[in-house]
Amino acid sequence: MKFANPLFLLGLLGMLVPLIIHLWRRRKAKVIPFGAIRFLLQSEKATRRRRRFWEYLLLLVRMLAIGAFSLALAAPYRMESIPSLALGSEQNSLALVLDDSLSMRRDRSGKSLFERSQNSASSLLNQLPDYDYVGMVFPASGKEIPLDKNREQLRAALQKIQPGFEKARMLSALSRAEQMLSRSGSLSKKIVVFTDLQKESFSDQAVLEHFPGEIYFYDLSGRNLDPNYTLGPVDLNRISGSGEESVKVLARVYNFSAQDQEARLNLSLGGQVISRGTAAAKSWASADKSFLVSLRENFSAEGKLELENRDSLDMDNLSYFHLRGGGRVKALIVDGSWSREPLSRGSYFLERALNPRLYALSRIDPEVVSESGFAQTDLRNYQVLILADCRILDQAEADRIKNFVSNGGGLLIGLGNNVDADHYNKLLGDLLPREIRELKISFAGAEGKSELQPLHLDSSFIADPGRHPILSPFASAKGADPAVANFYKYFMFYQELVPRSRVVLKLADGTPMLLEKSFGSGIALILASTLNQDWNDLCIYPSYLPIFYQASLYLARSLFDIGAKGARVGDQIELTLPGEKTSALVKSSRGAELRLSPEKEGGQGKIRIPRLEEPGIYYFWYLPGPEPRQEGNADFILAVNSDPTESDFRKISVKDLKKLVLADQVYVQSEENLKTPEDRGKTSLVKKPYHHGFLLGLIILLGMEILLLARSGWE
Amino acid sequence: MTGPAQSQEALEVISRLHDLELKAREIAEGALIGLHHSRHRGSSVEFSEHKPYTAGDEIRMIDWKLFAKSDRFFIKQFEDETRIQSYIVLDASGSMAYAPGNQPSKFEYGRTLAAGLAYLLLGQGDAVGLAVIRDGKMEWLPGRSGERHFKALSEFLVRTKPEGETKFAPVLFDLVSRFKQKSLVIVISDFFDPELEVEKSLKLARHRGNELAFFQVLTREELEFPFSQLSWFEGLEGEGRILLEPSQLRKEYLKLIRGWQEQLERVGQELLADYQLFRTEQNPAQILSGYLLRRSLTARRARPR
Repeated sequence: MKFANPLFLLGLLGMLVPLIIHLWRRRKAKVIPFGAIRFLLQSEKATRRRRRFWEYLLLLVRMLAIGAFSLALAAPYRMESIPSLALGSEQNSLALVLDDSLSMRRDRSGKSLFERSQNSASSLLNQLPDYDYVGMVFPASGKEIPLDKNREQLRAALQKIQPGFEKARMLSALSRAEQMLSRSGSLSKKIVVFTDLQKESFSDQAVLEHFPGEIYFYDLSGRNLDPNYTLGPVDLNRISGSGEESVKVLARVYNFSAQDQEARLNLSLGGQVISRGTAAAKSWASADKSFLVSLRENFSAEGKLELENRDSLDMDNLSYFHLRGGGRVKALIVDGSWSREPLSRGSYFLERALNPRLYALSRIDPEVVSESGFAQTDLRNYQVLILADCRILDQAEADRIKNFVSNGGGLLIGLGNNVDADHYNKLLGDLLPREIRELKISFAGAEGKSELQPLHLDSSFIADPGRHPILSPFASAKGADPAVANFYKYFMFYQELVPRSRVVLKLADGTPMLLEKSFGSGIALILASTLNQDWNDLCIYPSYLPIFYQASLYLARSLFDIGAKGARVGDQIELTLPGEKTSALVKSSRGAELRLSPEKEGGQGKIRIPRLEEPGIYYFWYLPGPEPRQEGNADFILAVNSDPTESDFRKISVKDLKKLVLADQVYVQSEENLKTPEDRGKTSLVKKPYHHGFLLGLIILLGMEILLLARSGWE
Repeated sequence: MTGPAQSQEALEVISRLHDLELKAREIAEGALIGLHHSRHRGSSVEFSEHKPYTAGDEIRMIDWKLFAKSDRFFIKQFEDETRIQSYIVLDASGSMAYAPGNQPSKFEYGRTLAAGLAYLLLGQGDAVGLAVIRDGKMEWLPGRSGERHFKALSEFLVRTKPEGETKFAPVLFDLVSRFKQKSLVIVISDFFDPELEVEKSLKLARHRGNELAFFQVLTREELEFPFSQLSWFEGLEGEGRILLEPSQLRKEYLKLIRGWQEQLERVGQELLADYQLFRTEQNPAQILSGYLLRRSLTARRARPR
């Protein structure tokens, strides 16, 4: 037993104090002459043994308590010997595993943990004799430096490595290190791990074999009492319905520390802070804060959410997202049942849904023409064409429509009394998602079983937010349920599989109601019923407006794209190239560009995106594509953020670690213990303090003292 | 002893004598209810009761008038109004010297009590004797009556100093055996007999039909043991000293001393003797008066003999 503060051992003399007090009290005792001494002597005799026992016990407890206290202050420790890494005689093969995860960027007294582990590793390199082989494995980036004797090369490689933003996959790194060593011929094999022993790092699924050697874990975490917060991925929700569009930005703050904290958040869009807020995050819990962002026309911006609270790891206090949206949309409505009476027009409700004028701001400018007027209009001025109950006069007119769509225009066809199914099938042909069949009629007042009931839309389709962008407003909207509308009369379609087509809405009995087909560069939508009140009463319900407003924006490819796909740092992502595209280009928000070529797989162009190493916004264009490339016209945008669990610095216990890692010997010790470079002997000594035992003893003794005093009080 | 010292002592004795006389008078007046009605049946005037005639009774004692009325023989009994003899036995052992604080020692208290009793008894015309037992030896004044005898008694009392062990047994019997007639024996002591012979000696005193009363004198300290600090307790009869933490012993001690009192009381009942506790902080006259009142109430109830 050795002592860190041996001076406090003088306190052991204090053990004599209760004894001295005891004797002093005897000396100081007064003499009292007493008549009834006979009874005193008798009672003294009767209680002598019991009294002595308790008296001496109390004296002993007091002496021991003082002794335990001074021993605890003297901080006893013993030296425990641990085999030194720098063995002298035989040749060693060492695999160094340097944790390069995001958490290693954490600051510890002026240096990042990774810098510390770099220093430790290079001092280890200096210690090792020249004939030892050393290789390196990096658990987060997956990089490796094979076994080598050349110290200069190893040192240079070590200095080049920087910690990333990813999580460490510690178990698979250990397994790689084992494989690396298994190829070496050395007799003595060792794995040396420099890590912060973060619990999360050991959650990967690699299966470890028993390693025939020693594994040394050097813990760099130190005493971690600093607060730490992080932001989870931003959740975006469109709030729409009328013309105006806005987005709810939901931020989630994680508090990985023992004290509650009010997180201060800044929301910036396009580099400008547009909103601030706070969220009260309880310790070891998360808190949400939502912001409402109103979207303007022609809009594409990188969004950033920042935590103002400083902590030991600043990298994770930032979360990226992206918002973009198109400009004004011109829509041409061809009304096949044009009339002077507005309510009997086929387009009356539609025109108002696309632009309610006085009631809300709309990005759509609808223009209504009769079928005869359609011949004179120049379709190049419009992005969306809507045919409301049109006859379609001849093949020329049909070709004009097809041309418009294949060049990127959007088409919405509403059927009605003027439509002849055979005529449509013949003229429009492959523009239609399905071939139109006969008409089906049911009556609103029908009662008998033989008569048909009006049908509603299938609500399961509507409630599914990922089903179709047109339906996205209904995922969260209350009171705007399209499923309440009645459909009395509609065309049926042939059940067949048509490539590049899908059903958007269907009736409760499964009859398709709204169908979509990609045609050339454009999209065609067809509604099996009328766009006005003739065959259904959808137009009198609040859901009518968002459906057709969204549909028009969708056809014009002008929906706000809030779905900039979220990804985690380190994710592997695959893209499928659209038919006529040959390659893709990715540009990060920092400006780096990378051209990606497809690997031909079964005729389909698939692009594998390399590991996304840094958080940020990534833009993808399919090539050949629009020139000049702007962020606004990217085909695909990715918002990449780091994994919030990486900021949870809680450590794995040594017990759990030894359960996971199987080897001849597993040593876990603090990084400081590596700094015994001159000790080339068989072992190095490590301090093991054990003053806690004495403190515990002291507490127990004080408890006993209280019990003893209470007992004599009862007597 | 020579000159001034002697006169100094004499002066002290005189002043203490005077003091004792005053106190005795005080007690006697405070407690003045007839101490006793003589139980000795004499041939005097005062009629007490009738008893059926049995063979051996004196013929002259037959109440003829009653015979005429009832046709049976009854013997007239009279109370003896002649002087009776009382002996006051005062314990002067070392333990009686115990005097806590400013209070009088048990001995002083006992002495005052003895003087008061003597005054009272002499005032009734009884003969009063006094015995002081000290360290197993006895000094005594034989019983006499009269005012002048009180002077002798008080002088004797004042000159006595307590010392030695409490030992009743040998001397008490010696004393009792010298009595020519049945007497009232009043023992004043703390009854801290180390050899537990008190009971035996009291039984001896009761022997030969003597009437017995014993007054136990104790201090509050002895009865309640109110000490709290670690102290040496020293015996007054040469038992040595002992270091004690009073709180640890109090319970046991109080149990013992109560037990002892109970035992004395029981002995009193067995011997048909009166037991009375005197606490030194209490006025002796008051206790005595209470005792006498009780006694006068029970006196007429049948005590055999």
